[in-house]
Amino acid sequence: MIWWILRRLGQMLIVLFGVVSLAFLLVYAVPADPASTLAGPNASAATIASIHAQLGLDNPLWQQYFGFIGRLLTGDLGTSYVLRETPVFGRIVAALPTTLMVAVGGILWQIILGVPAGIFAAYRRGSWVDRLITFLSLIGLSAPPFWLGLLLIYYFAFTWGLFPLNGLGSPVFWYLVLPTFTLGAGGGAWYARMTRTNMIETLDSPFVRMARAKGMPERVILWRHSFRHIAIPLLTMIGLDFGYFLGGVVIVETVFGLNGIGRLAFDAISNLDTPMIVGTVLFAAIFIVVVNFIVDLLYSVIDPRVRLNS
Amino acid sequence: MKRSLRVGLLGAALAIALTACTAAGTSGTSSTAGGGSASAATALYGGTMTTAAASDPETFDPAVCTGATCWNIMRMVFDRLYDYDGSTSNLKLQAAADFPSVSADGLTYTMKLKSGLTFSNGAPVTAKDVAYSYARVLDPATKAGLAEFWKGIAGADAYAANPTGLPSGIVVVDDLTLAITLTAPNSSFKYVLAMPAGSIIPSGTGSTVSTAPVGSGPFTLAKFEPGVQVMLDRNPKYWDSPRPYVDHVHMILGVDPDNQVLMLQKGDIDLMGSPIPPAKFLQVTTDAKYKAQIVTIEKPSTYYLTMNMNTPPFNNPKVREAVSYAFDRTGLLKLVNGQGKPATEFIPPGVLGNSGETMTQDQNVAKAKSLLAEAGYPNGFDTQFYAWNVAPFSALAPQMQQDLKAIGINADLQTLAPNTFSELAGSGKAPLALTFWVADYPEGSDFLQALLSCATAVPQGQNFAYYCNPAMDADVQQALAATDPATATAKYTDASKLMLADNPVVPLYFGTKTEIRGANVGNYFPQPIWGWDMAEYWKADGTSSRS
Repeated sequence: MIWWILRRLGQMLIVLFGVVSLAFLLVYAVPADPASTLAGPNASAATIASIHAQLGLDNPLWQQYFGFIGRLLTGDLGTSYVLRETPVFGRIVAALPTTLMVAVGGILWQIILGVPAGIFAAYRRGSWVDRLITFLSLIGLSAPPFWLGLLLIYYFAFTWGLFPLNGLGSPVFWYLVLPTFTLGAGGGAWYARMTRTNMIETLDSPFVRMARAKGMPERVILWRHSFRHIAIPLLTMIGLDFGYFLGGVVIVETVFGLNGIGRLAFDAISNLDTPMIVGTVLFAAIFIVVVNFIVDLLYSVIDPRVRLNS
Repeated sequence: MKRSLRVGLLGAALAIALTACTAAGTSGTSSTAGGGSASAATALYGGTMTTAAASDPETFDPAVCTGATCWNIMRMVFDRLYDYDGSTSNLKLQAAADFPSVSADGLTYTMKLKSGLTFSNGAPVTAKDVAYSYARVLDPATKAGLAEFWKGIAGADAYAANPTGLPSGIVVVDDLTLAITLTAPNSSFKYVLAMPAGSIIPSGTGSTVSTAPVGSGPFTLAKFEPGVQVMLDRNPKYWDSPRPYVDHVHMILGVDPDNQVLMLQKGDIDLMGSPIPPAKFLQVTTDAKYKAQIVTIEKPSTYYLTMNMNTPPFNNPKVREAVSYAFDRTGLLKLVNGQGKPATEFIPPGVLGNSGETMTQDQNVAKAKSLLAEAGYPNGFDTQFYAWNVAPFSALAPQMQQDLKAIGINADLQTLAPNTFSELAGSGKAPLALTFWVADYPEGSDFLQALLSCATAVPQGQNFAYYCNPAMDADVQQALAATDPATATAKYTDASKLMLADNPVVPLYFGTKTEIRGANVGNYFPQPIWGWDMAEYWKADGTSSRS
C-alpha cells in the first residue's frame, strides 16, 4: 500500500512537471509578445525592449525556462504581467474556492440528474419513459454550456427573478444553483446514457437472474447489488469529469461572473499573461491528479477485488 | 419539478426563436439617440453609483494604466493639470490655475497650480509632485507604455538612461509653478498632460501607487478585491466642491457584457463598463422602454484597412489604388449595427485636422479591376488578410474578403486574438490588416504621426502599412508647430491628402459610441476621450442637500 502510494505520488510529480513545462513552452510558441501586450498600443520599440529586459524575456528560452522551474520549486509562481503587482499564487488561491464549489456542484448535478434517470431508463427499458429519458439526454448533450448558461440567466434570473444574475453573494448556495446546473446538465445527460447502458448489462447478468430466482426484492437487486456493480465506471467518470469541468468552468465562470480559476485562465490566455497561464494550468493539473488519485483509492473500497499493491 | 423544468426550457427555446425572428424583422433600423440626461435639473447628493466591468483594473498606477477599467478609476482618484470638459474634446482646468503660458518659440510651457489643493491624505499638491509624476513616466523602471508621448520633453532620453533627479526639461520654478521645455514645438502637448499618465501623485510614492493610490481626485480607493469588486469613496477634501455628488462608486468586476445589460435593465447596476454587446445592440437600442436611457456620441475613431507597402504586390501604387475602390462602406456599417458613418478621410470628426473633405473612393468594382490589370494583375492575385477575432472585426472581415474577391483578390482571411494580431501586423507580416484607432487626444498627430509616420514604420510599431513619406511627416510637424487651429487644420489636411494619394490605408468608417445608462443616473454624459466623468453624475433618488 505504502509503495503504491509512493509510486503514484512519483507519477503525479512527473505528470505535473510535464504539464507545467508544456504550458510554459506553448505560451512561447504563440506568435505574440507579452511585453507588447503589457505596454499597450502606444508603446515604442524602445519601451517594449526595456520591458523585455526587465522581465527577462530577452534571455534565451532555456534560461527563462530553468529560471521559471527554479522559482517554481521554491513556491514562487511569479507576478502577473497584466495585473501588475499581483502575485499569481495569491490570486489563484483566492479564486480556488469558487472553482471548487462550482466543480463539485456540477458533479453533484450530473449525478443527481443522470444516475437515477439512467437506472430508471434501464429498469424500464423500451418503455416511453426510457425513450423520453434518451431524448432528453440527447438534448442535454447537445446544449452548449454557454448557450444554456445565457438561457438560464435570461429566464430564471432576469425574467422571473428566481436566482441572482451574477457573481457570488449570500447565501452562496443560491448563487451557485444556475452555474452548477449549467456545468452539470450536459454531464447529467451523459451519465444517464452511460448508467443506462451499464445497468442494462448488469441487469442481464447471471447474478441478477439468480437473485431474482431466489426471490430477492427488486429494490435490493437494483440498489444494493446492481448499482454497486456500475459504481466503478461511474467513479472513473467522476474523476475524469473534474478534468473536463476545469474546461467547463472557464465558460461558466465567465458567463456567470464568478471569480474562479477558469475565468482567471481565460483572461490570462487572452492577454498572454504567461505567469498566470502557467499558474492556472499547474493548479488545474494538481486538481486533476489529486482527484484521480483519490478515485484510485476509492476503487479498493468499492471493489475488494482491486488490490492497491497489485 | 422536473416537469416544470422541461416546460420552462421548452418555453425558453420558443421565446428565443421568437426573439430571433423579431430581431431579424427590425434589422436595418438605425439606433436611436436619446438625450444625454433624463435627470433632475438640480444636483442631487449621496448614494452609491454601481457599475460593472468585464475585467479587473490592471493597476492603479496612472503612468502604467492603458485599459478601459483602470482609465475610469484613474479619473476618479487622480487630478491632472487639465481635463476634458463635459462630453466635449475641449480642455478645462483641473489642478492648473490657468492654461499653460507658451514661450514665443513654442518650446516652453509654464503652468501654475491652483493654491490650496491637497491630496486625499492631507498633504499639499505642489509643483514638485507634478514634476515627479511626469519624470517617473520617463523612467524605464515604471514600464509606462505611454512614455512615448512624453519623449518630446528636453532631456527625456538622458533621464531614461539615468533616472535620477528630473529631466533637464522639467523645472520646478516654485511651489506652485512648473516649467516644461520641449525639444520641438508640439501643440498637442497640452493634451498629453490630460492623459492618465499625466495624473499627479505625491512625490516619492511611485513604489506604492499601483496598490495604494493617493491622489487629489474626487474619490479615494476604499477597497479592491481582485476579481470581485472595487469600492471608491467620495474624497471629502476634493477641491471642486460640491462634486462629486455620489458618496460611493461600486465597481463589480468580471461581469460578462451580456450580463451587464441584463443587470442594468434590472436596476442592479447604473452604468456598464463594457459596450453594448453586438447581439443585444438592436434589442436594447430599439426598445422604446429604454429610449431615454440611450446616448450616442461620435467616438473619435477610424476603422481602416492597411496594406503593407513592403510586401508585393502592395508595393505597387496601382494595386493599392485598386483596393481603395473595393469596399462598400454603407454595407459594412450595416454589419456593425450602423455604429458609425462612412469615412471620408483618415482623421475622424471631432479631431483637429479633420477637414470635412472627401478623400476616399466609393466602391467601384470595374475601376478596381481595371487598375489591377494596369498593375499587371488582370487575373487578380492571392494574399493574406488579418483581423481581430472579436467584434466588430469578426463581422466586417468576411464581407471585406468578399469585396476583395469581387475585384479579383483572393484574400486568405485569418482572424486572430488581438495580441497575436498586433505582433504579426506590427512585425510587417500582414499584407492586409483590418484595424482601428481611437484618439488618445483630439489632434491629427495622434493619427498621422502615431500610425503612419516614418518613425513608426518599424517593427512593433503601429504603422502596419510601413508607410513613410517625409513630406507628410513635415506637414504634421508644421501642424504641431502652428499657433492657431486654422493653420494646423490646413497642414493636417495637406498631410492627409498626401498620404491618401499613396493609399497605404483604406479608411472605412468613423465610429460612434452608443451607451445605455441606468434609469437612476442623473446628469450622465459619455466622454469621447475618457470613459466616465463620475464627479459630475448623481443618483436620481439622491437628496437635495448633503447631509
